[in-house]
Parts: sequence; structure tokens; C-alpha cells
Amino acid sequence: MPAANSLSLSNVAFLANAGPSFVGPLDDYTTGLARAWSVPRRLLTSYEGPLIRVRRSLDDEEEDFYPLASGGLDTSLLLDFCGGGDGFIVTIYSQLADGLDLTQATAAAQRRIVSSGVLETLDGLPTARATGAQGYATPAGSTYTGNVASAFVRASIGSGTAYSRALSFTLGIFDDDYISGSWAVITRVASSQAIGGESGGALATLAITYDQSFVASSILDGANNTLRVGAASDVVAFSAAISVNIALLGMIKVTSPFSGDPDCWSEGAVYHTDKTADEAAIRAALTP
Amino acid sequence: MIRFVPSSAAAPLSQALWGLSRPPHVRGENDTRYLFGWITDSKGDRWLMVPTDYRINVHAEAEMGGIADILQPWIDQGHLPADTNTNLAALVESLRGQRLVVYDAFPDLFKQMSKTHDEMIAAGLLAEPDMKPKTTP
Repeated sequence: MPAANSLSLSNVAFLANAGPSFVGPLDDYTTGLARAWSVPRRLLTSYEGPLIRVRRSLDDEEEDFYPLASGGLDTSLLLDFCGGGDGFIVTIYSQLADGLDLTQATAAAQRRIVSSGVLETLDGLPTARATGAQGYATPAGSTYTGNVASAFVRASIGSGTAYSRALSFTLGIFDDDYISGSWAVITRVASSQAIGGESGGALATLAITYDQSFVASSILDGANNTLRVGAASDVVAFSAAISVNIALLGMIKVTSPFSGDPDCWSEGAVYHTDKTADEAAIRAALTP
Repeated sequence: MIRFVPSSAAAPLSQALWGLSRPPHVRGENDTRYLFGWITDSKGDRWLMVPTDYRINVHAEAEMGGIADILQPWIDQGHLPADTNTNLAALVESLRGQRLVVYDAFPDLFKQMSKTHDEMIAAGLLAEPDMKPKTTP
């Protein structure tokens, strides 16, 4: 959550439109919920803060943007703010209001949400679109250590994108550009290789259509990690004793070189529990 | 295209460059703080990642101080011309309220020392991620 400061136009819009009828898509799935971020919408009834912070290219001013009563991002205010220029996402706020926001303090590494006055969209809703080597991360030190966790993400991967990572568990070692011994929810490794998960240099290949939205889930149950995209699954066995470092889980990452079609990241959720029983329902909840 | 520009002072330089667009006194606590990202190469040296076409707004109250401080040792050691800071200050002054392609304003020496991603890999300074197709379930 941002520090309380002046009452902005978007604050006013949110307060004026807030209503009791909203039901968050993840309201029924909060047990074990540890991370929840969304660019286009409010995921939880309990969250009443801004969804994103945006920097406009016109003069590099920044502003928080809130949801309407429907739960969707107030895109009218966003487009007004950006004028005919571009808008870049500085922060995707944690909807658990715990400060575990996805942030990018470097201008050139921020993803775009408005391009020349036009909204960037995925599934017809606002999204964070890559225009270069760009990524977001949670604050340093926000580490979860355990061997059970579940992650969900809605995103798309562009056909020309190299080394993209939408959301990942980090098992042991973390390196900013390459995760050794990890399981990414979704990764494109190179133009000649398929999209999938990675684990210590191995790559699971699951069917994804480039440039189209998907919801992926990855569940580490203490012994195995199951990556599922649509009907396709892949399972990798891990030591039951292995720990999951989720300090940077939620990363939206594209590393250099960047080429071809951009990829998009819209929302994600992470649980510190095994959500196998609710997996299908959570995936459906993250499908707008 | 991104060029990797060597800079042991990558973080303060990136912060100082962003100050041209958003001087510290106009920034909020949660606002953007850096212009370009940076990496540490296999030898432990830092490189600023500079998109060559990246443009910034030059704020009406932009200050050169932080950039001048970083360049001064290079000038003192004779690597950069003595008038480097003076010329950069004049450029900033002339562009207040306008746009600046940041890479164009870098001293020629830094441009000559910069490398592309492929050149970084060829020089052994960056490794291609070693992720091969999975062979076992």
C-alpha cells in the first residue's frame, strides 16, 4: 500500500463508486493466500486500495489508480492521466495490503499499459505489456521458506520473446537473470524451444499458443511440482526437504535480448499451501 | 537496441540521469528512482543497460550535479576532455522542457567502450542461460 497522501482524482472516483455488491474472484480461495496482484481488476472484496501506480511519458508524473465499483481498473481516469502519450506501470500493489507489491523503480524497465493514448489489453482488459528487458519483483527480504506452495498466473508469451518468466518458484539459489534450480510457471527460453517450466536447466514443454492468454498453475506439494497449462501437465520430482524461496516469486521478467512480439502479464496469486483441491476453481477465477 | 555501457557507478549514475527528468525535490517516496537498469558481468564489473533510442523529458529544474560528480574523476585522469561537464550542462540547459535521447548525450569514450548483448556474450562477460530441453520426466 502506498503511504497516505493527498486525495487524488482516482481516490475520489474510487470512493464515489465503491459499492457493497462487489464480490472478489478470489474471495472463496483465501486460505493460505500469500500473494495477489492484478493489473486490470480487484481480486478480493477485502482490498480497497489502488491496483497500480502509473508513470506517464508526458512529464513522468506518477499516480495511483483504483478500481471502479465493478472491480475493474478505472481506465477512463488512466487514459485521461496519460493524455495522448504512454503510461508505464511503476507498481502493481499487493491486494493483501501487506506491502509485498510488485515494483520497478527503474524507468526503462517498467512495462507499458498505455501506448500513445491507447490501452494495452489482454483478454480485452488492461495488461502490463513488455517493450524491452523488463521485470518486477517483490521487496527484498519478503522470503517464504517451505516446501509446499501453489502459484497461478494469467499472461501471454510473445513468439519472439527470449527468456521470459511470468512467475516462478525459486528452489534454493536465486540469480536475477537466470534461476538455477527453479521451476518457472511459464518460461520461453529461446526461439527454437518451447514454452514451459524449467528445473535446474531442464525444460518441460507444454503447449501454449504464442500471443494468446493462458492461465497457468504450478503446485509444489512437498515432493513434486506440477506445472499445468490448459489440459497439459508436467510433473518434476523434488526432494521433500527442498525449500521454496518466494522472495521474488511473482516476477514478471523478460531478459535481454528482447525481440519480436511482446508478452503480457495481467495477474497472479500465490499460496503457501497445496491448492490441488482448488486448483481448477482458482484457475477459473483468474479467467475473466 | 540496448548497449551495455561500463560504469562502476551504475546505480548513482542511473539515479542522477533520472534526476534530469524528475529532480529529487519533485519526486514522491514511491516514485521511480532510476533511469536505466544495470547488470554485473562475470568478472564482477557493472554495466548500465542503455536503450539507444530512450528519450526522457528534461525537467525545467533539472540539475547536472550528480552526473558531473561521476564524470569529474574521468576528466581529472585525462580520459575525458576538460570541457565535458561544461558541454553537458549547456546541453541540459538548452533542452529544459524538451526531450533528450540520453545515449546521444553520453561522452564518446563511453560509447566506444559500450557493447551489444552479443558482444558481451562473445567477450565472456555474459552467459547465455543454459536451459536445455528436458530429457527425463
